[in-house]
Amino acid sequence: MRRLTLYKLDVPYRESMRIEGFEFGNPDASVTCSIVGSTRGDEVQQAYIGACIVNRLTQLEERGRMANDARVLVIPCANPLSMNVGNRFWPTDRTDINRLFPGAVHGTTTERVAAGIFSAVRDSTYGIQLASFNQQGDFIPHIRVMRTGEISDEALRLAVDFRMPCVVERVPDDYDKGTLNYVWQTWGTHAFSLYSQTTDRIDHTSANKAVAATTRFLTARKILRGRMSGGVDSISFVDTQLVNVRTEESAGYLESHVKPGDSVKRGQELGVVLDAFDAHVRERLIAPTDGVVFFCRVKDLVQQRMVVFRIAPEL
Amino acid sequence: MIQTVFAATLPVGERLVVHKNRIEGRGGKGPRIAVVTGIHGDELEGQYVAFELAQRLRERLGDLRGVVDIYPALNPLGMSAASHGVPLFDLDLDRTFPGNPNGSLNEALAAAIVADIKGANACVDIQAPDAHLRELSQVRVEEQFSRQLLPLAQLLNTQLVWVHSNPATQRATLAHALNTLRTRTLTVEIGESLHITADSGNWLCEGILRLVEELGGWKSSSIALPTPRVVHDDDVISVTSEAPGVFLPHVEHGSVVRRGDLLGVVADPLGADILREVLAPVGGLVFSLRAQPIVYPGTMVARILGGYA
Repeated sequence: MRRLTLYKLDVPYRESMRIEGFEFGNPDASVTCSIVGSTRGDEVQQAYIGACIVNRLTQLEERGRMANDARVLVIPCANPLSMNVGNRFWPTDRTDINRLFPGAVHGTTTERVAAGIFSAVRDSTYGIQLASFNQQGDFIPHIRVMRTGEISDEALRLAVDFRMPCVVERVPDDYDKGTLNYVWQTWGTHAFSLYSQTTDRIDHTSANKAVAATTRFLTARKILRGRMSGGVDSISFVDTQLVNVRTEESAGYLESHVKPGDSVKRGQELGVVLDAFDAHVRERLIAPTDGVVFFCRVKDLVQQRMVVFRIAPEL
Repeated sequence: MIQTVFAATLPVGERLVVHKNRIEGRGGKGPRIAVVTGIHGDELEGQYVAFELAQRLRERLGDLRGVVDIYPALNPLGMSAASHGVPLFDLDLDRTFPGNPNGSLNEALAAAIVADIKGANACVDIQAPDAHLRELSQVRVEEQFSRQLLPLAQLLNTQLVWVHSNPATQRATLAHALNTLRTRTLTVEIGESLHITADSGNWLCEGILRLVEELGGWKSSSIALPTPRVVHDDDVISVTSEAPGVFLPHVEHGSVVRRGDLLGVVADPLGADILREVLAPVGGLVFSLRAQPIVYPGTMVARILGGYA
């Protein structure tokens, strides 16, 4: 393992921001995989998973498990400046680095940071981003692939090798076109976003599963030697097939009866909204379809028209 | 007449409500004009315009044909806290359009705003510059809609009209959504963030009345400033800091500089050193100047409009 400073930015009043990378295997290999952890300051789980992957690959490399013609680069935290002050976005201008790829060397500050990250990972055969959602809640751990054409069709076929519970295909909106996942694909990298269960707090169980899933994928691609083990057969669907369950008419306290991964039946009560003053039930949140709970809101206060659950259809 | 555009329940004994003030003229049938503001809660210049414009119209209802709808606070929670985005979500409301009536509260709010304004003969969205910058007053017009918008944009009494490109990742604005629906919408930036600048507001009020007059809705006189210069992206040169520190400007906002003039310095307060001199790469008008002095490498400290000297 070699520790590399991939990008350095001098900033006012603080020590320079350094983006550190951890390189495994042969630096000149023809098969490469880059793994990028947190790009936002609240992605604690994603940075933690990145650190655990560094730890795991260090052990595996010492045991001779890295293939001769393979290289893996891991960037556990691509935005330490925001993480150290607890800001999801860049502290001064609130820009989101994961909307600015491929960046610009002579652009704005965060475009420069994005360019610094991208120059280190752009020529990869495979790219894995440890991603988070802007929705506040817990998810089924899954792999997401942005639909861009031929390369994403191939990525979707390869995504099942993570052996995570779900593979979700996303049809990109305009605002997705600056994400690392999308831009990676347009530059010829097979790109995968790995979503763990949480964002701003560490969930060790799902973090361990994410590390194991990454190891399985690297093994399937013959970047790591050995046999694949563990995991599950993934179910695949397009994200438009997810069914939202909202608070339709009321707001108040959320009492949830289910968690991500639970199977539910049509008509089942998933949770209730309680009145903020006398705690009577104002609304019952009912499953509109059979399926598996894919997303659960975890904050206790809910507004009217807030998506509280998302159900993956039974496939 | 105060009307409700959108309402939704908040968790603890309150509703989020977006209102508009519908002012109906007594001069007969005429256009419907929408004047919106408060999409960002820290941009308060439009509050004065909403107040002043409504006062002027109410005093002369006989001179008004048709309807002027004034929406002072599209983001009422942000306005009440003077915060840029929608509180709780840290969400830029002007990146959520056209919204979705079946989506989340904020998506439904955006969709309700679009549905309410759609079909108006024109819409003026009053904003203020980014809190980090001082800007000359300007109308911002997306290039793809410039043919329809430029004749109206030049009526609003601003110093500039900036015709700009709009990358795909930034097309979720109210103006883009409404212009796509063929409701001509002009985004105006005046004054300063978190301030009210009565002069700028008064000029814009007169400009909006000129626009209403142009569309056949105002029979009284209104005051015109000289026609603003129309600028395009190629005319604008951004100047960035290449060092971290405190930017100390050496030029006035709105002044004309020559190539090589000192725009300012980046200083280090700890070592009392000048880290970098920032020079004008071209001659021209300093139409944007850094207001918040803390800078990083890549922070824009000025924009110069070339060919002005």
